[in-house]
Amino acid sequence: MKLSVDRITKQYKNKIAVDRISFDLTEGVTGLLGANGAGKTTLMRMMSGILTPTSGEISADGIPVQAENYRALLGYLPQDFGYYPEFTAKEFLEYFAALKGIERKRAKEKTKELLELVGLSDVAGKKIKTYSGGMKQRVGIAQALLNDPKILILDEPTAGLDPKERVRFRSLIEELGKDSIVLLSTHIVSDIEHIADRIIMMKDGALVWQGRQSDVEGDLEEFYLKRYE
Amino acid sequence: MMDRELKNRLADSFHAPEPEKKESFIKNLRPREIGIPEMVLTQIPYIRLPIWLFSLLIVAVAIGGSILGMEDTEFQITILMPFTAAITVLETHRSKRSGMSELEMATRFSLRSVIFARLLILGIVSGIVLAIASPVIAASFGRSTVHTAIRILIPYLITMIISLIIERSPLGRTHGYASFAVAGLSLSVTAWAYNCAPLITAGYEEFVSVWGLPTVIILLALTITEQWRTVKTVEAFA
Repeated sequence: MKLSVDRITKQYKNKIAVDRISFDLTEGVTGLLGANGAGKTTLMRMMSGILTPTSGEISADGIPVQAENYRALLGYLPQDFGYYPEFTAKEFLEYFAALKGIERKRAKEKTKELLELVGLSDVAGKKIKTYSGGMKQRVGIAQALLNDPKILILDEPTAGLDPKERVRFRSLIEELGKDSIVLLSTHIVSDIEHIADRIIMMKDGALVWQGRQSDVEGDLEEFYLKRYE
Repeated sequence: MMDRELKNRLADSFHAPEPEKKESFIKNLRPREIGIPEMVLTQIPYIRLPIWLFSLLIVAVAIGGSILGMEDTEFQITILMPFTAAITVLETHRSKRSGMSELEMATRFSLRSVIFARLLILGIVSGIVLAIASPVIAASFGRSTVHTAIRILIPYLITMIISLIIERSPLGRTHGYASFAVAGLSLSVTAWAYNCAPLITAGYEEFVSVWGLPTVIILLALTITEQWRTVKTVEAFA
């Protein structure tokens, strides 16, 4: 599968949040690096079909981002998300399974499987409002994986996770990248340096570097910091 | 015919092979086609319990009041129904209020479909409540079912239209419960006219008997237009 981002721009009145960015992604993990305010979230929102670009096109194997078929391929974890206060983790996942068009029996199986994967099986029946930040983030990650997405877009997914959870999460992402296109944004280089095949760097809405991690000479963090000097 | 024992022994000797590349096969399956009715049905369990209970309360008031011969049963239903309109409008921004809208926008059935489904379900529920309450009240107090339904519908629809317009405005975005203020205003005006202004009530009766049906048709058209506008603007994110 090929995910194409073609000269994508987002302009708000007198501010350009994303400026004519183009790249293609295939199966594997791609790290999207940039400081806060670089335009990562805006770009990811456009790639998830929730924000309409001012200009440019996004498609997956020719399926445009606005199409239901595109969203059927997509798993998305936003930087911040809420939940209906009455929901337990199990109900939350079953609700999203319904919105993703997953058949009820399969939804129940998948919910169980994912709750185990993110280590929340024992608290699945408890209301999400009683969870810690890290546990809520794990529910969000599980939600993104419900439909076995071929495109997985994760905006700052490690925020709120403790060091142990971060390590577990990295190996999960690495595994998912074998069959899916995974785009993961972060401003912490160590989150992606061992798992991302490709790196995209953004600054002030523009793309400042993209390539394979193996093309980076020396330390990734130093290389990244040089782009921002 | 093979006997059962032989069949079992064969089954034991030749196990079915383990599925190969099962995950990859599942990922490559085309998504199942799902129509609007099925999508709408999936939303029914997620309509909150108080909403169902409130609808049941209206039906109970209509039936109970009619059985007990309470003359102001119709008045009570007329002042309660605008609150179902307020609840319906409140449901349209429940996602935004709970911070779920960004997640719901990125699912196969986007937030727009979710809002459409909720409006449709609650519209049908209100229709059912009206279809039960109107004939029961009309039969009990010797009135016309159509006129009873019209008298109940007019404040309901006006509340719905005004609330939907406010909900999309900056005021509605900052005051999540503005639709309840509209329903409260409707209650106050109806109660004032019913209790303190017999001339207005009599004039309204006459208006309903002549212009009631065309008024309801116009209000229904406006309601559908406003609901459509609300659904259309749902995904104007950021």
